[in-house]
Amino acid sequence: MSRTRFSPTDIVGITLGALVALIVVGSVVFIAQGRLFAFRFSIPEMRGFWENGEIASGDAQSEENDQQVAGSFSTVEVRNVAGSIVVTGGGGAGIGVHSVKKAPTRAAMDNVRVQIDRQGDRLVIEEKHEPGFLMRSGSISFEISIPQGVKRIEARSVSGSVTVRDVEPGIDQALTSISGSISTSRARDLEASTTSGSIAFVFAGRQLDARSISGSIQGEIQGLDRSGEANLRTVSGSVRVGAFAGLDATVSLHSLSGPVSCDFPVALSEQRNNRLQGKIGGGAARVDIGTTSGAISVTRIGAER
Amino acid sequence: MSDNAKLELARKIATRKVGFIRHAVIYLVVMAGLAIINNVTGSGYQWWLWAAFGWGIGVLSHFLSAFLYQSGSLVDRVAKRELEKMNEQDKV
Repeated sequence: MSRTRFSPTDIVGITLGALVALIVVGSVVFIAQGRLFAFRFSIPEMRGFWENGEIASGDAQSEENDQQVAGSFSTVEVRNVAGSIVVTGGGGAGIGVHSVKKAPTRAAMDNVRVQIDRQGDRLVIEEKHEPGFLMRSGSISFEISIPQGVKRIEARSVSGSVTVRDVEPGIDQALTSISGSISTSRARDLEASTTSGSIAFVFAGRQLDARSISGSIQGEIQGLDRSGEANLRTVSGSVRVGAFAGLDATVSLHSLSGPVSCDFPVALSEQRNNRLQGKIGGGAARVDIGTTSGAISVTRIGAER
Repeated sequence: MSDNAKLELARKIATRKVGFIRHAVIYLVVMAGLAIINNVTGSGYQWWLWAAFGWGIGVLSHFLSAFLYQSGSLVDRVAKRELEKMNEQDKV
């Protein structure tokens, strides 16, 4: 009688097969944690909603909450998924956190919460979900009011808009969204990034980075350090920037299929239809603006800060 | 079975096994990438597991066809049995 012998290929293949089976079973278990098939009947609150027809009629749940976080923080970080984020100034002694929780059902509402962590001089405010897929339908919008003394704001939303307004001058900001727009009414160093939203900014600092894929970029550069740099990039949107009269920078404006214009007197090193390079003043700082399918315009604004 | 037929069958089986190993490695690399992207971007929602589940079913089917059905397709095996039956009847 002959015995079956496994070749190295068999051993590798069977091991990989077992590993894949393990991943598939693991993913099934994880999906089942969200009670994919049974949640309707196993959660009393849900059963009530179904029987009362509240889900069918689309009645959303909403809950507002205010918290005051005492202490001084140099950095405030806010993260959420689907709700908007608004950061404003004038937050008294501490940091005010106004949150609006929304969910299609009571059960989903109970599965989303606001988590506030103090990490040294950094305050992290974020939306947290309990494990389980189908319970993740809730979202939280934040309105954060910050006091004087905050030096940096970091806000990240997946599909919500991010807005910073009425804050003190001199605050660095890192604002990110995937499918929401970004707006800040006053920033020192600014890093703004979105995939399918627009960006609006007012900036006066050393480093400006604004990037979008399918949104327009519009803003004011009210001041740019001589060693500073401004990079504005989008793929399918226009870029319109107003800059302070004393701008001293080497500029590079380039669009693949849109007009490019600049109000400032530029000592040109290159000018073609959709491309303009040269120096404004001594050319100390760097301004680099690019888009693939939009117009670019740089205009002069009145006052230098 | 002639030597040529045996060689042909061996090549077929080897091709299937190596094909599966290649498929499984690509699956694992892509899933690892998706899992990293999912967790680095911090969305919390483990969406990559849906892809792991759906594609995983396909990879497991590939495994079954490569390692369990090594004697050719079902039609081939049935045809082989029928041929053996005919040969036995001819002998009788």
